[in-house]
Amino acid sequence: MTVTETAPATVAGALPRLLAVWHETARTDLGAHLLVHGPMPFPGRGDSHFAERLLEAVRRSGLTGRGGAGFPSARKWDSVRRSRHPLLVVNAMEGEPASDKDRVLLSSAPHLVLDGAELAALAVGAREILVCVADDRPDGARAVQRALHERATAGLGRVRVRVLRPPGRYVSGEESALVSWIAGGSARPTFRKEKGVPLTVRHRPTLVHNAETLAHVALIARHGSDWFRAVGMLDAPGTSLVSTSGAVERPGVYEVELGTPVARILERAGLVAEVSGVLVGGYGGTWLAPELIDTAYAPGPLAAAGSAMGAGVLAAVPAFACGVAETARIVSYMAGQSAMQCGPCVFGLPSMAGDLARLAHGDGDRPTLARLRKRLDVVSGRGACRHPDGVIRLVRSALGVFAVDFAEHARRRPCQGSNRSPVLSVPRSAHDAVRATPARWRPR
Amino acid sequence: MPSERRRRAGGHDEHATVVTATAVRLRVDPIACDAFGYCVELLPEIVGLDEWGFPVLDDTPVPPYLIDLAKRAVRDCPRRALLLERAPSSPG
Repeated sequence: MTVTETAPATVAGALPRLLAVWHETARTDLGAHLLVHGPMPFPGRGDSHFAERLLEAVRRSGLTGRGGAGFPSARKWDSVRRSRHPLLVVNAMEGEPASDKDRVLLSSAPHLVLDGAELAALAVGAREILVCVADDRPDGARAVQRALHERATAGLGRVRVRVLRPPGRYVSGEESALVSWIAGGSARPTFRKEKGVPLTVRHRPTLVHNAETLAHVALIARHGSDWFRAVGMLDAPGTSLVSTSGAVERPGVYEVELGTPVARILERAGLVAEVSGVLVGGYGGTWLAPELIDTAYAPGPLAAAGSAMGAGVLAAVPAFACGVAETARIVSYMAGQSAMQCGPCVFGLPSMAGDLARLAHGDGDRPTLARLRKRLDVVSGRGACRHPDGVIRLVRSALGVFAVDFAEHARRRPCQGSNRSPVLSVPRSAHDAVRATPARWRPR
Repeated sequence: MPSERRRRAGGHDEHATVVTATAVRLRVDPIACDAFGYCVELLPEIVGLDEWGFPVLDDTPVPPYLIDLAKRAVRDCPRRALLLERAPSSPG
């Protein structure tokens, strides 16, 4: 694993890493990729220990999944390595509306993602890579197709890669939903009787990695685990992509060192106003109180603040906006994004959205608030996937961060901000119309 | 009784075979469950009901005196949505 030249990206402390090609050359093609990062290391003839070395490097790097769960990547590989014909899935579904990192990464560094996917495939013995980009996110898919074409022309590419376009919905990027769709089923999460068993597509164990995770693998393979660990925190090394939005002048995706204070990331994006809360992780994430805005952006410190990196979202809500109204809108969107499979989610989320809407508009009272709290407890943990739990986490954090506002709203005294148009946007998906009514409900 | 017949004829009732002498707990497949409520009727002691009619289970082991009823609830669920699984030996 050698480096051909000392481009800035290879200096351990230099940022950005993942977005270096675009940053240094303003190009995204294969030539620029090779110029900045050098060729992808691959096993030489008779090199039987390549996979072991790569696995060891990734293990020592401490890389964790950047898709939300934050699971150690090397351990994920271990779970499918010894099986026959595993499949590698690149998850660039990005169902989270406030996230833009998959699109940015695929558009500006497609070759890094593809390198990482090929390396992971070589490490676990997968002969096929499936890159999944949601059908409502055309930019990323086009970039990957273009990159694949370039690689084929240049005679690169040792593993077969296909680009798939599953339906773009919030839950279709959930691991089991994605695998279900690939296997020919619907893009809905499935019930897993046993936990910790790899998902399969026609009996082939399937490894699902977020696109960003694989881009990090491509860099670790080139520069080693020490290089990777040179930035970030001891227990959360490396960098991560963060999508910023809300009360910022330059919303967009930033590559940050893990451990950077949340406030500093938002300042980099041009924080314009005093905030009443920061939405961390995504629409199934948590609100961070303004007094905790200096929390280090990394799994440990965020967990201590009751938060999590999730899909890498930081959305700042300015003090003049109404946290109750913002939350109500997000929950209403999330209720519509349910896969409509599990009763507690099908009925629970709309009922919570209703309670929140009543409170936001000043139609709710203290019993409404009490009912909402009870519903959060009752529905928690009862879906086949984590979709309802994400919503519950969001509402619980809202009840804490916006406690004063909720109390005022419950006295039918909604704040000024609740009449304004909301700060955080929710998409109006073409798929929503289909799901107006629960699919499998019958009266008792 | 249809469930009896199925058990004798098939002999490979996947939901029931998990049951061993060790501590077991009930789990519901929330996708399959359609809120028929048989489990709540049979086991009000350990199965609750939410406001929409869906069963609410906790992670605690099924007490020994209810094991037979729990097995029956698993067999009789019209949606085959209940399963008995080994309760984790240590919490966490």
